[in-house]
Amino acid sequence: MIVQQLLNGLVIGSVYALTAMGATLVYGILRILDLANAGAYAIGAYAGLFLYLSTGNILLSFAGAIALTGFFGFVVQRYLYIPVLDRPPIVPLIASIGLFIFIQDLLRLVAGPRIREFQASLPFGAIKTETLTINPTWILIIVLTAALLAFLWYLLAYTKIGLAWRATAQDLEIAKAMGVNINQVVAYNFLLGYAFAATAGIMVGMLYNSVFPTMGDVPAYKMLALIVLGGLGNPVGTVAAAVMIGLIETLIAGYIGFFLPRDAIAFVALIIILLIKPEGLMSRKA
Amino acid sequence: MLKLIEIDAFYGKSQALHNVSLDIRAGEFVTILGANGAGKSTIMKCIMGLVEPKAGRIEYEGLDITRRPAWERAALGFGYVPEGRRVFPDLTVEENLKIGGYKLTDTKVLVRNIEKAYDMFPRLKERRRQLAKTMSGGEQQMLAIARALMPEPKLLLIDEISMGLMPIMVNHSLALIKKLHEEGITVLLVEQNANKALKFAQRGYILKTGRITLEDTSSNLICNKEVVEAYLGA
Repeated sequence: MIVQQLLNGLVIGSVYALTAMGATLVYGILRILDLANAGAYAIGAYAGLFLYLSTGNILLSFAGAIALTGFFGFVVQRYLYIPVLDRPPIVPLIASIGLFIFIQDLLRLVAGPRIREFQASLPFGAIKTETLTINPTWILIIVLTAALLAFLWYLLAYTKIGLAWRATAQDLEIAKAMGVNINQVVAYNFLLGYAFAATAGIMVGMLYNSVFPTMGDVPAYKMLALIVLGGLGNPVGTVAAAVMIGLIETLIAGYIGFFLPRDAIAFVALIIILLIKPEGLMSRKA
Repeated sequence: MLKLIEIDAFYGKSQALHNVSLDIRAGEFVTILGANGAGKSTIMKCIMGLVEPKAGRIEYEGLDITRRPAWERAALGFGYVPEGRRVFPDLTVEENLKIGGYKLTDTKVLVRNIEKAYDMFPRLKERRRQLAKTMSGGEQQMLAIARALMPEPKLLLIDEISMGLMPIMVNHSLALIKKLHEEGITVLLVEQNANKALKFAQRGYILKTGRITLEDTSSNLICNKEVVEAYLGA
């Protein structure tokens, strides 16, 4: 039972980590909060669902949805954020809120307001032991998240572009002067961040068997809180915060059977942790 | 080598530079002197492409680079030591050097230049795996200079080397810059500490609230009564 609950928490935490990662990277480099990242989560879910319904191939749906949403991220930064970068931070923030609302209404217009089912059959089965059942969607979520985060870690720690990202996050102006093409860094950043959000969206759609236009709402709020909790733009901190909140909300909902719904538990936990550690779990400032 | 022609630059609505013209010839050691807020750093940022001038032209080796993005200028042969050092705090010493050599496409050259930097500053070699923020101000200044030398610059742009450094470190850094100059690098040094800058530079510009008010050789500037009163302390 406890293992089952821990795994459940890990699954939820993984999804949070993937959703918040794009916005964390963007905040780390540009110091803007990209709320529309949660819109990418919904776009990814819809794209994945429609590709699955039309092809029946889950691998293809993932690949197509990730590519499409990643491209959308590229377009968003190029034509929405780059032009307003030299304005005060409130301008890109409001632009991102506007984009987020636009995405939701666009999805409502194109796909309709109702909740759609996302029942996908995966090419592998559940793992069953006497006490424990891990269903295939859980396996997919944990493995895919681990793989994507490992890829990001490798990119940031060991490649030239990763070094350029880290330098840019620490001092954008000087990184520019050293020859780092900031526009390229930002473009890759959005591409990757939106692809991650799309992956999370598809997996959540499958996990809860539902895809709907406003499915990004709650993740958007949680994403913002997780970015703060993770230490504002620190990818490792965001993963730690995401897993922690995933575990807390699952364990409290599962064991104590709190009278609040689990999203509320997550936010109460976030508020308490932020009251204790307002600088976040891993702040940049030493 | 480098020409600024009638540059106007703004920060928001306030004008930081008025009609500034500079001419730096290859092999020179030139300094720009001025009080805090006179616009010295803005000149450097215009040259590096971090501030875009509203009017005027910047030419480098006959090329108009006024509107070129900053990251393309790094490859032109500029080495930039910014005001306040601005090393990347959460990168290691070696990673800072790698970013300095970001535009070097040949890994062998990159490795060789890192070794050169370590020969010049053995202290940095000792601390190569340490995060830059854990080092002293003097060590960070060494790192900032070493980082600027990574792309083998033809022109070294140094902004306020004396800021926040102990006098002995300032002298040490200036002696080093002089040595680099003797090895053939053209130097543009922006300084508040006029006494020291004029000791090393061949020629100086005086900048006052965004305008060049005087240009002369160092030896003449040291004797100029106005300069002595304003910048050298009576």
